[in-house]
Amino acid sequence: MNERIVPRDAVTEFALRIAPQREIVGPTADRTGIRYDRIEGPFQLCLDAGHGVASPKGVLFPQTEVLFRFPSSEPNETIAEPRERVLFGIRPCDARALALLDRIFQSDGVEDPYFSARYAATTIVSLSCTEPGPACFCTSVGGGPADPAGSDLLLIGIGERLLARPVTQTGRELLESGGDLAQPAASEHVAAAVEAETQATAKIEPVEYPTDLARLAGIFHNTVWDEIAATCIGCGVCTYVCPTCHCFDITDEARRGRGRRVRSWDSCAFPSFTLHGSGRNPRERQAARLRQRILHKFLYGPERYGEALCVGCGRCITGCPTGIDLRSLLEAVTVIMNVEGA
Amino acid sequence: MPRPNPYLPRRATIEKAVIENDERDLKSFTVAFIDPEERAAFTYLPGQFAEVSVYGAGECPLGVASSPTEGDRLLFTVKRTGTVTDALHRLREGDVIGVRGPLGIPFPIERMKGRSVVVVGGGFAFTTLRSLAAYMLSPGNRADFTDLTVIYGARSPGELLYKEDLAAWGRRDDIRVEITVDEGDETWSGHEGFVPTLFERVAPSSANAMIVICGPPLMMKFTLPVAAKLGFAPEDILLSLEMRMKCGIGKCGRCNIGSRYVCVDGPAFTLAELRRLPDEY
Repeated sequence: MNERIVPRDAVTEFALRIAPQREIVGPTADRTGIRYDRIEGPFQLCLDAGHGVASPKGVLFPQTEVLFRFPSSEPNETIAEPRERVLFGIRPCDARALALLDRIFQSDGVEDPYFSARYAATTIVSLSCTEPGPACFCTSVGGGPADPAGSDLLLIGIGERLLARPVTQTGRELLESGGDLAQPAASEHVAAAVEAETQATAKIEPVEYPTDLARLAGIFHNTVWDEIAATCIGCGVCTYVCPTCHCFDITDEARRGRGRRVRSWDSCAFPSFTLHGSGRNPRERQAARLRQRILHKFLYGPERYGEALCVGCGRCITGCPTGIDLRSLLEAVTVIMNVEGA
Repeated sequence: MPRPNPYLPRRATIEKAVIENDERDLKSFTVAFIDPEERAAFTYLPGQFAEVSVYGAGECPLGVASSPTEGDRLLFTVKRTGTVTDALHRLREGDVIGVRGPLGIPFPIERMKGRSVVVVGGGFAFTTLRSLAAYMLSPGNRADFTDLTVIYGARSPGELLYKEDLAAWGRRDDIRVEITVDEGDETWSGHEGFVPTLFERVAPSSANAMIVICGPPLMMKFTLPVAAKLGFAPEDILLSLEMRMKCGIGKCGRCNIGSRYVCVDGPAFTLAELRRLPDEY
């Protein structure tokens, strides 16, 4: 499999060496926790403090970005090709989430050029989890602590070393350029990686989530949504920290005819999200909005894109100010569905 | 390789701006793309919409009310309801707006060919229905359809859209046009009452026919049982829907009904399709 071994204490050097001409973005720590930021030298990468409150989605899909400015002298303004970039040390759940976002932003025969250009220019080197967080449930939604989906190169922690496993041709080439920092792996290293993955997997508590789509659709009008939404205050934090939530707003910011069109993250938790000009709102109640979020992930996602739009990162669980636990919601919905779903 | 940018509007000039109603909150704009290439590139069919920009105010989705058979000018009829439509209403002839589209999928014209078509509209939602009627009535297309019926209503005579078109269609013998108002006035000698009631009275035949409905939710709700009573099958009943929209290309995630996006899978859906979706419209 062309796996290599990289010493853990040489990981920044390794990152800088494999991507000399490219911008490196990875987890860094500041007083507020993990942030995904540019890595320019040693002591910046922080690989042992989990995946952070905010996901790396903002690196490729910024919370606010300018689509274009007006008045424009160039009527056929196109997207500037972004710099080649390596996203280094993100977790497998987030790599998987970015692949899902790519799928959504490429869907329906129209590409979102802002996201797609950045995604195409980004090489993803992810790092497996050895100490999954208390809210993690990736293994229940098709992922895992060493899931290669969405990564070009996967690093698996084995004690003082990292086993580097190329996933794509780009990852293979990247690893080649690691030179003496990436020595060929021996069979015991590969065995240790398997063991590390098994141990990490065992630490993640499985969650039962609804996979019977017809039955799930059948409980659309069930009162279970009101019950689980009773403590939801509609703050939208779950959608902001979610690595797959991709809903956005488009607004103009201008003064005297000069300005810019901006897109910014939006949230289905807000009543204004679906409010019609007429005053009608198809999702008037918070319960309808929470139901939309859950069904978008677990029913509409599978129906439209063939996959659940949740990677089990647990950020919505740790981030919820009223302690709503998506895992409990899913379990409650599954129970109701099995009893009452058509 | 340059990537096409679906968020970038094409510049278009307002050639004509006409107030449509007594309340003066409905205005029709005839617009032309500035660049002749863009004019030619905007190929559309009835039922589609566009995102119209007032630079500095924002964008709003508007059904295209013109028919491609009428030339390369686009017609939009706008109700003044919010930031963008307010700004749009303030614009004058000669002002420049942005147009992004065509968006959504057209009415299933191929499925309508060789059949009768009934158009039922209410209020200012008559825009894409006007496009459809004008399309079917154009000399090159009329023979493709058998009986044509338009049933349309507004709150009062002064609120009816496209009065000239309605009058012109009314003079033809190859289309039946029935107009109603909720409440008439001294000038009004036509039908009074709601659209579903008139629809039931006109009772167009459902034999080898399709029906297209667009209007306020309540009007659509009460029109459906009549359509069923007249024998229209759920596959032959089309409802053109409105939802709050932003991107228009299935990315921004807000106009969904279940797994379908009104912007890319609609805006028109058959009743059969809608029944398979969650009841959230």
